[in-house]
Amino acid sequence: MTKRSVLLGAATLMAVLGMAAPATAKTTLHLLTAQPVEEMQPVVQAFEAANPDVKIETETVPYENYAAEIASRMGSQDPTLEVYFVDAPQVPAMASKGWLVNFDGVKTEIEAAINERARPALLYKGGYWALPYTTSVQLLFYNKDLLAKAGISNPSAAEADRLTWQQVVDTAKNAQKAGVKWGLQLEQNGRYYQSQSFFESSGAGPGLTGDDLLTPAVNTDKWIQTATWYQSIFNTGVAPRNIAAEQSNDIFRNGDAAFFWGGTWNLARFNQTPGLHYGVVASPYIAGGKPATPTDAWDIGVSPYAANKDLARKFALFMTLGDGAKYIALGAHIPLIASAYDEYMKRARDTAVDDAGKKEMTDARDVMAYELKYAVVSRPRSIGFVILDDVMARTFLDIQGGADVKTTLDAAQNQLKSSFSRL
Amino acid sequence: MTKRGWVSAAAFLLPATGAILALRLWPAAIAVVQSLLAPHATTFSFDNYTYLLNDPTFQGSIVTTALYSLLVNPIQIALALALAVLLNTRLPTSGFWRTAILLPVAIPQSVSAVVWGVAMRPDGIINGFFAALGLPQQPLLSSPQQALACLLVIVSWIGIGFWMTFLVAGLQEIPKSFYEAARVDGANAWQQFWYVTLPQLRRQLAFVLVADTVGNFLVFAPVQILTRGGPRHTTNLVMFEIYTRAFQTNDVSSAQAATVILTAIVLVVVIIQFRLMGSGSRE
Repeated sequence: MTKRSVLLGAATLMAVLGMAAPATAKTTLHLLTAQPVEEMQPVVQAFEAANPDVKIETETVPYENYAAEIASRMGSQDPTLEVYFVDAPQVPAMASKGWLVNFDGVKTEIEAAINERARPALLYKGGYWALPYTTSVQLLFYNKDLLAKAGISNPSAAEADRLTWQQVVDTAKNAQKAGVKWGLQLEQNGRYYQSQSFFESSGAGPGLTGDDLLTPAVNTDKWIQTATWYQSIFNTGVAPRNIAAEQSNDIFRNGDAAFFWGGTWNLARFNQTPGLHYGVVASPYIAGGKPATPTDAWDIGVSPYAANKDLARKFALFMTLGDGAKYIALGAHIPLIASAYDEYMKRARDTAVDDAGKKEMTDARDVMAYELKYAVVSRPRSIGFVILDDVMARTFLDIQGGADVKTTLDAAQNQLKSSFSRL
Repeated sequence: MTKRGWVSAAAFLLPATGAILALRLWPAAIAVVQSLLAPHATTFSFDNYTYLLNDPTFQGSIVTTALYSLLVNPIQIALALALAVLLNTRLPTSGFWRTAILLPVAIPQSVSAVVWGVAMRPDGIINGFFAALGLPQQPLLSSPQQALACLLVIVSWIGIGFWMTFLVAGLQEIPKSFYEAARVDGANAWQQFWYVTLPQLRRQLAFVLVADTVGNFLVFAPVQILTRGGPRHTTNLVMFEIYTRAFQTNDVSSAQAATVILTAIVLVVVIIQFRLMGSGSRE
């Protein structure tokens, strides 16, 4: 080949590439979530349609590894971590580390779009560090057929009739006597998100005290007392031990549990399960205590190291406060944006197959509205929450497994103290 | 060597040296420097080390790792050696068995962990097997007494086949005449193994011992996927402890200090092993 033909070839190649460039030179924006990729598709497609020069790549990481994923990518200031889901109680820790961009500029819009009670999940030291996305409420599901077979009447969804945990466990034991495999299934088995409720309800508290919630208190008498009761659910065989959160709702769907304490994201899934007839009531409380229903879910944050920071902000605003907010209703969690909330409940109702099911969806809607207004208790908003979440998840699993309650809580207390001394 | 020779030698060495510098030594240097900076501190100190060495969780992870290493390495090497010797005999189907034993190596450790995790569930296939034999149900991964042993089984399922291949290669290098001479001298099978096979296999065994020891100090995926260090910290191997510190509780400086401590321990153990194996070959 002559020198001239090489040059000519190179020039042609460059011309072709040059011509092709305008059509393919899209900016790639990255979205990190713990939700399934499909759940993000509607809002992603809507944003791409409105911004033809942008392509959004969605990456999903399981919840158990989600915090570690963000920590490791922030450690290397990864420019491909751009828009990401933020676990609401982690906002203080993440904001204090400089992992979130500030959203005080859209304070008015945020406050107009959400209920006043939802604001704290976005705040750190009075500033907005994340955008509102979803929240959650736990419901007590019961299997109507299994209760009927055991001669037990359905519980009432009226607030005055809210069950105590002791009542639930007694009923569950009776159902087991009638041949049901498990009495009660806790969906988020061992996770702090769900377990905190027992301790808040009994008056033992979240396990953190002090103005900045950095003084651990997980081995008080009240904690030991509540944890001992918690352990008895497993020791007596009412609830199964060590079932991963992702696998746990199968037990209820297969008709192997009389009661199931889980999130509203199960409504649509259970409605589509043939032969499953269920009802819902509000989360129970510890006798002598007060209701304390788990809540909060995901906020949307933007990394200060994002390669396309402005575009990331634009997409984050689109999916929360903008036109994209309506797609939150298609997801598994309860939208924080008031306008998407009604659509979310309507969709759950639409999945009910019969009139009884539709009535249950009405009950569920009423219970959720009441819980969000009066009964929910958030996880502690402290820069030490990430540590608490990790240490207590293992502690609760150990207690379930039959470890001595006081020794285990003492060890957790020491581990929390030791780790907090490093903050 | 001529000057030109030196230049080209340097040019050939450059990529490897560069890679070692950039991918090994530079991160190691960063780890050492960060391990000397306590949180919020501006001056260097040994605070991170003092904190770690007095922290019961870290102490526990070192003890667990030591116990695990003392068990897993001899078991894996003994079984790998036994299988290698067995499959080196002229069995008609030894090729098939060798492949079958090596196969788990081709499966990522994380995938094996998930599969074993399902098998070891209370309602899993292993308990089904126990039930079929009339044995009581076992808690396996959820028991503080059994979890570490379960991890050992999973890791060995992968490891034994891998290490066996090195030993099979070594066995095939031993001249048949050595065995013939031993037989002429009246050595039985055990004596042939002890006086011919083992000494001739020393080089391969040294490699397997060192590489297996290092590999087992760094076991992470099965812990992270199956037990997350529990129950009751009984499987909190030091690599998982470092991961928890670095990425779960975001205490990067103590994670770096723990990494330095782990590296030091591994180095000391490996040096001792080299000494022990090396001194033998000079005899």
